[in-house]
Amino acid sequence: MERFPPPDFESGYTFPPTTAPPPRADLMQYVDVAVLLAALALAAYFVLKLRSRKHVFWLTVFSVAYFGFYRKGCICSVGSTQDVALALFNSHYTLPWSVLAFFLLPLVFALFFGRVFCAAVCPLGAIQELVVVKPRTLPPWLEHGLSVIPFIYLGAGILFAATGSAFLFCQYDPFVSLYRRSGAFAMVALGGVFLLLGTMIGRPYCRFLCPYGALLSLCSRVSRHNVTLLPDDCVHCQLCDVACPYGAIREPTGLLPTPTPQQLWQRRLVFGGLAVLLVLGGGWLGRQLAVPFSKLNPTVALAEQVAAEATGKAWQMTDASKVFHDSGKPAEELYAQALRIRQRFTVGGMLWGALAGLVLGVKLLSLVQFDRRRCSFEPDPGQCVACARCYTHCPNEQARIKREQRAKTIPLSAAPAGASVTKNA
Amino acid sequence: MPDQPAPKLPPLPAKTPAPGDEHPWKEPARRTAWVAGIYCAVLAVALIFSYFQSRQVNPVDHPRLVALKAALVQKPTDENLKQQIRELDLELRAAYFRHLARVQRSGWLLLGGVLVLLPALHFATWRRRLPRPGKYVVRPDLFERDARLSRLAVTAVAVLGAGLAVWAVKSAHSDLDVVLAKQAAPAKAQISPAPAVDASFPSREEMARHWPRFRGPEGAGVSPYTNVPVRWDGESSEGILWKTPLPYGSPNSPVVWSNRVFMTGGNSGQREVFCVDADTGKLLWQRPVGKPGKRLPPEDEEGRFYATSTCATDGRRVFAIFETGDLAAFDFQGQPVWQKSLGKPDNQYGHSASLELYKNLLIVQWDQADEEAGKSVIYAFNTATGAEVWKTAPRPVGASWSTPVVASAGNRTLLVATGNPWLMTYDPDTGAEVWRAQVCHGEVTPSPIVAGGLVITANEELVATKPDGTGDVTKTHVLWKQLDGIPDICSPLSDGKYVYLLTSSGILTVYELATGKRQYEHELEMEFKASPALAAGKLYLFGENGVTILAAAGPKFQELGRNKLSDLVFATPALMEGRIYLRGRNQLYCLGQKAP
Repeated sequence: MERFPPPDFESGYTFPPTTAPPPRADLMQYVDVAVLLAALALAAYFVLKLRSRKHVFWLTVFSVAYFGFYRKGCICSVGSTQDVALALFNSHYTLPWSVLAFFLLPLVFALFFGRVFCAAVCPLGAIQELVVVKPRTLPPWLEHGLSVIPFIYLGAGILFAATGSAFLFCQYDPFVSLYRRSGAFAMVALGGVFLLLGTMIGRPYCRFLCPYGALLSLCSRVSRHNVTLLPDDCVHCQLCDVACPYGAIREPTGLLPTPTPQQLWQRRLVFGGLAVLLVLGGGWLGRQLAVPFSKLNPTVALAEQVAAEATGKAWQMTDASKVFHDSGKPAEELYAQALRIRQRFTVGGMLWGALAGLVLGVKLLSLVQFDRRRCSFEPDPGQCVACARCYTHCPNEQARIKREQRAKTIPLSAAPAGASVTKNA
Repeated sequence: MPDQPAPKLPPLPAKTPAPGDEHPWKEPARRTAWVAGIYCAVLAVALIFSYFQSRQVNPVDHPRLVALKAALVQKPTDENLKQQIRELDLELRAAYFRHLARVQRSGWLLLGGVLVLLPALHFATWRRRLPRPGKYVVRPDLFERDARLSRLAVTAVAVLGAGLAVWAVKSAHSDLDVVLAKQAAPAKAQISPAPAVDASFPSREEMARHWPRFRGPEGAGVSPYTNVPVRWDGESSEGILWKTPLPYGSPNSPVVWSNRVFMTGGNSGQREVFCVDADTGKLLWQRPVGKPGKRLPPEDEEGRFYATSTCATDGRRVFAIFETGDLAAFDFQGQPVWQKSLGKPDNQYGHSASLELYKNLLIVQWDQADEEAGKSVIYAFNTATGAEVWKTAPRPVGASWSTPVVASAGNRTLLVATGNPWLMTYDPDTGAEVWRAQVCHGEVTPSPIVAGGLVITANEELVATKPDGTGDVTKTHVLWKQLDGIPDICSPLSDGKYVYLLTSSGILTVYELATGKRQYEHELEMEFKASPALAAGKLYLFGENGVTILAAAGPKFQELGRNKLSDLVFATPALMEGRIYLRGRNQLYCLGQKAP
């Protein structure tokens, strides 16, 4: 809500004392974490054991209602990344245990069960999941090109959080204003645009921006259990590919042309060198960004304002600069503090730039070599958000379910004498 | 010819759904989706419309409210204006909260619509998923193409990101770096270490709370305070908080900032700036300006006085100028910040124009010689360093003795300066001329004011000029002119409704500001040098003989009282909160009631 000064009453009216909402009861923090844990466990069970799209869908609806509209999109795992970053770099910041739990639990689940958090628990993903109407397949080059952005955004969010400057993921969360039904017009409009876009391009925020999704994607790549599509029985009907709105199904590769070792080394050398250049160049460029980036820090912004007033560039004082002038503190102290923060941005910006270069370089290197050989359609563990849509379309999966149901309805004792019970019967 | 029966057309085949497209809910879902979609779209458009409409009822900076508040600064006692502000403020706040409530309600309604729309769309667009036609053929060759395109796309993202970063670096300007570089420059040049210069400057609001220059904020002679003293007596010392002897009896006016009162003084041999404690009257410091040189002609010869220009302060420093062309800045402890000499001006009575401040600029109207000489200019110096920031083109005016003002007029900020024969306005940021009008005559001494959205000058004729022109506006923007009761020394005064003129022979003449219609003329039978001032709807007319007449502002003369001091008064006093700082020929008086 935009705020404005209270009226100047001359009638002797006294304003009621300002009250702040009481902190959320400790008990409710336990409830939130318990709900998260239960939702993650259920999501893993529905996706990997029951393999049921219907159950996943209703869990998605629950998450939108609970984590979205009831908890108003906060606390959320995406934002918790910044709290963790701030706590790591600022010893004065006490990280609430529930925030840590929201940060860690989805990652731990991703390490074991893939991106089940994205499937039906994350309120940002859930709201996009529900609006998918007519998904279009994006060309692979566009998917690859945009897939580096979440990692770069993740680095930027950590940089700004670690320097105590801003919580970018929260400030630019496009859906939180929809859940709260209030907020800056631009953010409400941005949320609307993402949802409208999401009717045709599945989960645009999750796939091409979500910084926490980048972390989950890394964990999911090495996860023990993941969404699978009975590769031994794949009939290449492509229905799973058609059904997946997120372009997460990888096609069979067939017999890929194998470059000669010389060609392969040549490519590795060129793109490896390019990756190193990108890291160095990114680091250098990130370092240069210390001045514009640091302006997002409130202290640096105040110092800039005070300096602008001193140089005559700013005539009107801001509320912050008025308070500063009234405090009687010397400007030099503020300037020195701003310089210390900028110095942190110099180091942090360099690391962030190097990270961005590394992400781009690794992506380029990964595109030099062909994928490992696949004989069937498989979900990509990094990209798959475990929505379970592919299960409902895979004919072999449907047949397997029918076989299981039939097996449940026919008691073992009723089996004809002498008939052998196969594994899949 | 008998009508032949029309041939029977074969019945149209029933619309059959495409294979795989036969979900029983499809048709009702399609209709529901249309209804819900239109409902959501209408609601969304209404919400957007409501948002843009709500911006017009923003209680923070609604143009009408801002204009009314600005008018209240000019007329702080206008109850009607206050009432209008209260009513508009209430109306805007109520409208704003109505808008918020509407948004909340509409949000729920929209959510309801979306909850119907989404499942309806799901079933309306439902199709049985069919395998892609034909046998699947693996195309390994496409992998190489996709990989190449993907590498290009990633490279494009890298280039785009780098481009954005370079743009951000190039367009980033840091005022902090500018200030730090300035602070570091002397150290690098190995100049003896000097204390850091405070380069900040006050906002308009801060200036308006003090009396920073001749005739107070914007040179209007209007005090924003409503508790300015109305009764004092020199004989019984009633209503006098303190009085303190002054080192010089110069006629320049006191300027006040917080608990400091600054004045200047001089004699034929030396010139000084001095500072008095506003609470106790103690002389805190006095500092010489310029080098003692050739003695000036005797005072009072041909109306000459020493140190006639009033100094100015920005709350960080005090600035003073003298008829010798010496210009100086001191901090509040009396430490010199900078000094410079503009050279002795060619001015038959000596330089008298006082100083004006705007942002971090010290503005000096430096008119001299005659209009053909091309020697008159206005300077703007950096208040922190004294460096020249801009200088106007040579002004086509001769020597003048009036003080320029920087004020908001016609939705812009103008530097207004008078000289014979031009009233000229400039952009105070750059010194570029904005417009001029040929409305000044003779020896231009009364200073201009800006009131009620008009520029008022009183130099052998009283002229109200509209401020929104460009170029020569003499024939296009002069609203009205009057010739009676024109002052020769005292500057005009306005409460936004009327213009008050006071001649040095004591004739008070009042005109309606909007029309120029004369309201009354009243002889006070006293001599006046100090310009009139206004506070809480009362006119303060400071007679040269030490008698101050209080009169009601308005279309009829009504004397409210007289207060006597046994001193000569040439300077225009400073009207502050609960106090008046009045400079007599011999003493500085602080008028006000002692705290009980």
